[in-house]
Amino acid sequence: MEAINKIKAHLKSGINDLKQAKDQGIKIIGYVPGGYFPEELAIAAGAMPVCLIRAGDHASVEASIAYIDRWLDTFYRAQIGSGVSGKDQYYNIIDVMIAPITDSNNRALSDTLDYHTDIDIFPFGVPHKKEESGYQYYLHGLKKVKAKLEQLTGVEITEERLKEAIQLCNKERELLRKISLMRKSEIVPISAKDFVMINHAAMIIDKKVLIECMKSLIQELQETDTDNAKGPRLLLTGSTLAMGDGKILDLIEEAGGNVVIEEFAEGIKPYWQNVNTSGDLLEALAQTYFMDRIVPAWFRPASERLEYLVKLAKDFSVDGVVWYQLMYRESYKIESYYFPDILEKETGLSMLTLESDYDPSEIGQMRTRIETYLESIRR
Amino acid sequence: MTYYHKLLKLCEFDEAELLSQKERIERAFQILELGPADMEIAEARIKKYFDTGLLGVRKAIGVWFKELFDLVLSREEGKKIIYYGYPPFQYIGLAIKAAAKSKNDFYVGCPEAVISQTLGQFFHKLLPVLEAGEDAGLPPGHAMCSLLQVKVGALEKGIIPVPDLSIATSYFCDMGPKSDELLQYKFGYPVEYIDSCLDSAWGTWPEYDHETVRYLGAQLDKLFCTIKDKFAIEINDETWQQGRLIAGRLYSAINKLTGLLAADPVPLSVVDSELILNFPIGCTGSVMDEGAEAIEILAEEVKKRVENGFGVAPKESPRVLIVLHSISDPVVNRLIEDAGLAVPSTMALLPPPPEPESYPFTTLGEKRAEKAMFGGAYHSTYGMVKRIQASLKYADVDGIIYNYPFACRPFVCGNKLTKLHIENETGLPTLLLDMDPQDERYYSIGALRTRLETFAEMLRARKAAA
Ligand code: SF4
Repeated sequence: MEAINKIKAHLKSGINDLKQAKDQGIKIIGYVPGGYFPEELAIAAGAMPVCLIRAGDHASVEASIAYIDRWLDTFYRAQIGSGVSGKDQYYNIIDVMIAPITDSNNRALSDTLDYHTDIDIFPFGVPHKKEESGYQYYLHGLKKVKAKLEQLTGVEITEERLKEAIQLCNKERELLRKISLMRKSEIVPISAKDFVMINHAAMIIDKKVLIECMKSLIQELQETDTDNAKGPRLLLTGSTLAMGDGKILDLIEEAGGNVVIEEFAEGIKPYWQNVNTSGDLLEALAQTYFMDRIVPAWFRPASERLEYLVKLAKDFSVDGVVWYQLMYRESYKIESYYFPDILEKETGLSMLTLESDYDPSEIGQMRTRIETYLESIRR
Repeated sequence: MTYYHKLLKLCEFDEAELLSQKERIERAFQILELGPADMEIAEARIKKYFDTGLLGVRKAIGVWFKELFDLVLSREEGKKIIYYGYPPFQYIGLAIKAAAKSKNDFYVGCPEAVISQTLGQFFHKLLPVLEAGEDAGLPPGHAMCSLLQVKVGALEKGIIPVPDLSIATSYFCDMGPKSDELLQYKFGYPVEYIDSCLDSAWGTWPEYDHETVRYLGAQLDKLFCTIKDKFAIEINDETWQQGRLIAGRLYSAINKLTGLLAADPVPLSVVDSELILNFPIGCTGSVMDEGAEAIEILAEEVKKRVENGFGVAPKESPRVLIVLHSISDPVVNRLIEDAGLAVPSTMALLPPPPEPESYPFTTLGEKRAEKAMFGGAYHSTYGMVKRIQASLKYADVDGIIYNYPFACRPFVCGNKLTKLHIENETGLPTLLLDMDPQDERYYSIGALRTRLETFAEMLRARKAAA
């Protein structure tokens, strides 16, 4: 598909686009994934947001060993390895790293990079409970981020600029939603690999470019008769689906499975809700990014997420669930123990749990387990 | 004579107590599945590892047994049960207990600390509990906190009762609250999460954002409301003060003892000082009076040792500050002294650094939240590092042993940064010693010994060169 190829090309040249922007004096705002940093703030400050979502290569995990113990989540160890290496083009180009602090794993990244590198780290807290006081604290964090970005860029984030940025991001969310929802039907016009690639692109490339590409893509998808769902339909969920960690989708595809919907704490940018463009806009951002967002497993409690997974499984008519998490992400590990019980009771479906440390030696065993699982649900 | 008579007599239970408590003791041991052979094991371990020549030590061990019985029997004795996670929010258990009109109607404590301390240290029987925890949702091989495996396993095995409320501190670590969520799913008990965010930037402690205090304060105030609604216990400034007064005797006894431990030679083994470390943190029952009395007696005994120049390690041995004790295995604690190191203190026993001027916060929750921020560990990793650094001024040491539970994320997040920061700022060599305070399958005594001996050798050489 032409639009898909275009997006891929833009993703490939992403770092060069950032370099060009930087040469023109535009600030580059790096941020830690997880869906708690509203890119709108960076855009409204005339800067370019870029998510630090690349991982999957074991070398950066190994590089982290000198700085942190191995008993932390693999993705965050990989980020530490990349950040301290001085060789990662994305970490090298950012003017600031906005770090929404969610759990211990992500806090370790912020502290370790702060200590060992010259990167300007700006942490702000994400509460673990959806309550009025939590909402207020998150809103307070957004105000601090806004002030930081204004100071960094010298641009005042006015209501007008923010509204425009929200409208742009709403458009992006709306199109992502539209594409994703097409997978509800019996004929699935887009593969999970392509959808995830587009979702990752939404965290890296220029929004205006991506929006145009997604518009063309929707048209192409409406006209296509390609069906990507020949095997069992799957919900893929877990902790982090990084850009560069493609093995899980490859293995499922090779085994004849079809992921028709994904839900991850990091690596799948939330796109289900738009931000309200009337009233106080920072409050509107806090409402969507904190209150309306489906919670990750590190929430207290995170039952809302498990209920949501059940709903997704039903809405997208899946035949099975694959839980893909990274090693030592404790909240997900604990949930993976009791969620199968809930899933079984609510839907009659079974679940396959897979874990990764970005180690190539895992692939053989993972392949066997996926094949066996798909075989069992086919029966 | 009953099968537990010798053991409990060793731990200073008197005959009248043994008689009047017979039914309770036997029922508790039955629930805990502890029989005559276990009593022999405990007696032998206590005699081998603890300094039973000291009355204060024997009494302190006895207090742990009483706390264990109270915990295990609390439901059968018709008590309302409130658990809190470890480490708890400062004084939270005491505040609840102090505010309760009839204190005997409530069990308030941290069950995983009590079980580790007793089934681990004395009976060497934690393994079946840990295994039950592994099977019930905290599996092996995934760096799951063994302290929480103890809690999950103890509930799963039915050796501790299902509580009426569990209080989880939800920002210091993620595994604690997540385990409560798991247990809530399994046992259906309510959990109150005290939330906050450890989002202060590196280098900012003791500065803090007032809004962080307000958020944590709001969470605490909400918890107080829940406790009032559920148990008719009203926690306010006055009852909080009462809690502190009740604990006052215990803390002043601890401070007195800590002061004496600064002597050279160090007069008390780290194995014995461990016994009192968790008194104010782990439980709120017998420890308040009998525990305080045990420490007062111990302090007098230790004072005499200091006057006589008695030490558990030779005078002028290299002195180290340790960050934690093992709370379930005296063998690990003993290793440090066996390597020829003297331990004048543990971080948790040292006074907190002086507090900056308070901001006029209004609610009780906010005032307590501000104190927690000053304490360091609830501020940030940097706050925790600075807390260690500040406590060094009370302890004349040649090095630090940062012995940490390998699966405890708050420690893992900051261990290497702590070492670098402390060594750069103070010049004190710091040994990172990963261990597991509950699960002996995760460490090798031989490997720990080698590392400790090498570190001790290096400290001795430095001392000699100086
Ligand atoms: S992980 Fe650490 S902080 Fe959390 S409960 Fe275990 S020992 Fe305590």
